[in-house]
Amino acid sequence: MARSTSPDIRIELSGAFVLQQRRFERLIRLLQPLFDLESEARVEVDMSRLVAVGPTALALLTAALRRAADRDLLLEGSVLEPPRTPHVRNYLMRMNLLRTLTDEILDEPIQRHEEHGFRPCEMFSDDSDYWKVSKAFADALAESCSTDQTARAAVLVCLSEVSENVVQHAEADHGFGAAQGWGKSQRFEIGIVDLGRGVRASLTANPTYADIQDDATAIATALDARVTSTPERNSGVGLYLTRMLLAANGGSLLVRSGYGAVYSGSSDEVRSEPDFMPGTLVALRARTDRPLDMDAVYRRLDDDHPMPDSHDD
Amino acid sequence: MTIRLASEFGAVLLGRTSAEGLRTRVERAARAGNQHVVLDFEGVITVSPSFADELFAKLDPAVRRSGHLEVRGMSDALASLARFVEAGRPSFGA
Repeated sequence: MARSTSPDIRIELSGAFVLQQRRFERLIRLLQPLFDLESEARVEVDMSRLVAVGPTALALLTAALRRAADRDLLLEGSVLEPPRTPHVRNYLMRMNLLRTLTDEILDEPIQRHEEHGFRPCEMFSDDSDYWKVSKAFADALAESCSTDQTARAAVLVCLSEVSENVVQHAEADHGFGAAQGWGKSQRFEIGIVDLGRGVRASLTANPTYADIQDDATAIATALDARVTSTPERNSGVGLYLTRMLLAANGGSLLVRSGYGAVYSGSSDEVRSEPDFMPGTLVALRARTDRPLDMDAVYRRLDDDHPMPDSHDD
Repeated sequence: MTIRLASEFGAVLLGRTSAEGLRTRVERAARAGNQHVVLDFEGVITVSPSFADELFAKLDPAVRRSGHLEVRGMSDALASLARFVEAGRPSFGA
């Protein structure tokens, strides 16, 4: 297709994209041309002034680029301009941003070592691989943050629940995940992103929730216990229990989908945003200097959800 | 028949699909010749909610009531999770 008949898209990703809501909003806004891309275009993504990128942002960027590549929408001459800062450029290479986008063998100016304390951005598609991705990330966090067996198990449970949601509800080609631990600051962040149908479209497929009119309400509802689009198959407790786990830990959970965002952490926020996020972004952040214990959450269930009288008969 | 879950599935039990296969196995064994089935949780650190839902909440009520299924070594926390997911599917427990 001739260049003159196609839209030219230039996206400049500068500064830092880390887990603060407004930073994600900026990234979502900047990536809109890629989300909206329906026809072939010469796309230039300029990351030369990028100074920091967190795992959730990386998963989102990878998902957007991969979708355009999968649909053969990137015309010859499309460019991914690497960061000027060597450590950011090397980080993106180690996290496989480029490798996720191409089957070609890349000439990378970095020495690859055995993965320890991190895992590259991973793509998953179905029941056969989402749990492998969950396990890889849980292992990485155990390595980088010296988490104990209980915390590693909790991370594994949360990740498997969130990524299983992508496979079973999103109707997306792929899910993308990335994880990073910071041993010194005793924190870790995991991002799981898909560009599927989003929370509201999924949830309103269940007639019980068919009248939900906005994305923020849909997300807030989906975070409640026993809310699911497919009650015959799913129980709708995975995200609810993940939120409880992170709240007990002092961490946070962000779910961004459509025009809605729900942040659950030191304060809870349900808000509508101006820019559209196709699919769903889930960011989990936890502290490794405090317990991360799934069983402690389970033990509270009897008190938080007492059995109806009929069960005592 | 004793199913040692940690040996078969690892110390963290995950995933609806693997739990579905396990439940089907348990139901078949319990129905076939009234075989006694033991689910041994020894060595299991924790269980994901979807695994628990698929295994416990969707278990054939007739098998549950038959007395042919025995659960061993399950922690109080996992028992609490099992009750929670079962309460979410009252029709299965009817």
